[in-house]
Amino acid sequence: MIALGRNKTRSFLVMLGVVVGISALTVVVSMAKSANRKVMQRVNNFGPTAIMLFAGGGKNLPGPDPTVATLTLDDAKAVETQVRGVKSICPQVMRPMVPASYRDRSYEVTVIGAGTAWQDAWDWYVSSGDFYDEQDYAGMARVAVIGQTVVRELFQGASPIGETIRIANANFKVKGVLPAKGTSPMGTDMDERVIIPLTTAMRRTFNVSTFTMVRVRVSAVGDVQRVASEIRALIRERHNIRPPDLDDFRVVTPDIIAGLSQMVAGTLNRVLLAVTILSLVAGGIVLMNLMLLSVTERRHEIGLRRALGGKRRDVLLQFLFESVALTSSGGIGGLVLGIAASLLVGRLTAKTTEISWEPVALAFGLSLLVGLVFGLLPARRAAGLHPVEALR
Amino acid sequence: MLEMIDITKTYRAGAIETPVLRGVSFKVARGEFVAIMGASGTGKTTLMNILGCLDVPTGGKYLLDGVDVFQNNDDAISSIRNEKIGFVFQQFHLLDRASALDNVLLPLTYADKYPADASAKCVSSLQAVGLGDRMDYRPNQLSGGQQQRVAIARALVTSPALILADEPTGNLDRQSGLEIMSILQKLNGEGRTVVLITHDQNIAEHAGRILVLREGRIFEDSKREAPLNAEKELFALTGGAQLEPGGCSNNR
Repeated sequence: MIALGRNKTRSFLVMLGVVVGISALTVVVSMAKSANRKVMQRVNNFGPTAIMLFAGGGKNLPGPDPTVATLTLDDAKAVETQVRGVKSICPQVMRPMVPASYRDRSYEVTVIGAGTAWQDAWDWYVSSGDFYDEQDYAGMARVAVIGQTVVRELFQGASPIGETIRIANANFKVKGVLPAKGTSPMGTDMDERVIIPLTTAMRRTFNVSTFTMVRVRVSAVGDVQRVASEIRALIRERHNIRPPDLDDFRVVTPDIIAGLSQMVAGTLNRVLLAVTILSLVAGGIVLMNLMLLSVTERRHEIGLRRALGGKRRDVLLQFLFESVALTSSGGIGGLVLGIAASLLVGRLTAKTTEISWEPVALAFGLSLLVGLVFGLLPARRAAGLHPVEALR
Repeated sequence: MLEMIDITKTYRAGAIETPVLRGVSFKVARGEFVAIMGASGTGKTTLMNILGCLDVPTGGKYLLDGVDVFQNNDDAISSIRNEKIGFVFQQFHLLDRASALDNVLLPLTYADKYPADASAKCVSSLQAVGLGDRMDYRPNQLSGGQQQRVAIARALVTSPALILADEPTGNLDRQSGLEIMSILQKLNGEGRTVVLITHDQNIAEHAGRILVLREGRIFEDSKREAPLNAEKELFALTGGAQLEPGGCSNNR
């Protein structure tokens, strides 16, 4: 330890690499943790037992594309009746920015024409009034369930139940109101929607024979993959698609959502991890060089210690200890810096970063390891010096 | 107490062999003060390294305090150095950043069993060389003579069988050198065995016996009935201004 103070600049340089490495690592771990939590959150938002069937193929993930609509009511029917393990199924078509009005107030809403199982499919149940029923659905009734933003914009807080609103120049009776859901992960307002029966939407409002997506709920999480592949096979058959033709639809499962989020977070983390490893190795090499230099400079001290009865092992341990002391100090510095950086990143990006015990343990473990690994060669050289040569 | 039997040492550089010691044999009895003399190139340093168990001879036997030194492995030889030999070097070899006390403590930290009264031993060692009031000083705050006295205290602290001093006055002015010699004579008077390696006839004359090394062999082994007394020389040198041996002189 006495020797460490002697070369402050040098010790600082050695520590710097470790500081950078460990702080990068701390940031990586805290970001990975929060990213992981976010993935879980997304999967939960999506629904762990949900499968989405979108019209239109291709690689791009989805937001239902309103211009592509190849799914028919018969497709939905077939999925419901032919695939085992389907708990509920809700076909739907969606149009954004549809003008809606009530008396003299108007607002652009997202209109969703959906099956009767919509509440169950999305785990989103009306908070007042009723959802439309089978009878409304079969009769293509002009009834609507509206979200909180619509309530606020059109009714200014007054009860909308039983009132009539105009949507795309047709009158709809408000049957129920959905509780607020806030902003989606994509940043859109989830409460500016109006749900109407799919039949009404297809035949009377939008005049289409196909729709854009089906949401399927399965009974058990374990069934998701099997049901998904059966749905895919079924729709391929119904749409008469044979290899090598590509799907004109897309089946999305929770693990695809998870994978997508992880991919984005993973790239960033890999870069930071590479920075970590590189700077730790760089720090280690600097350490090794400077310790080798130190061994040369302190030959007399080593010789003296050997003459006074120090064994090779004593000298080895002394130099190893010095290396580890240097890298550990670097590790502590890096940890402090890393936690500060994580908090800063969290504040700047308004993303949550989590501080936990893992980076602390990792920082100590890794800086210890760097000290041991890269300190070993200089320590061995010091211990191997012949006392006579060293004293000369 | 100490016996060398036909010690040889040959250095090899590639195919070239350089014999440095060609069969050195002598005994040193407990309580003797022996000076080993020789010009440079006579194997003096090599002999000193072997006496100090720092180097292994090519042939021969070395008995120290009843132990056949070179029958042991490196770790055991380290322990022998720790327990039986107190080194005093020409360049002092103190740790710059450590206090006098910590420097004296160093050999004890390498002892097989760290003594419970370690700091007491260090204090009494430093007092024995007259540095009881400088224990917290660092080497760079001490004069050369004082630094060498710290080194002697360090050599004493383990109560070794042998004090081995290699040109201990070589880096000192005459007065400081005499101070060191008077301390070594005092320690010898207390019954310690001292072996002094030097090329300086004046310094060697303080020993009770002088071995002269020439061409790798003992050339001469002579007793001195009346060795020089460093204390008296010191008195003469300073006109009596000098304190008792080992006292503080600030000759920086």
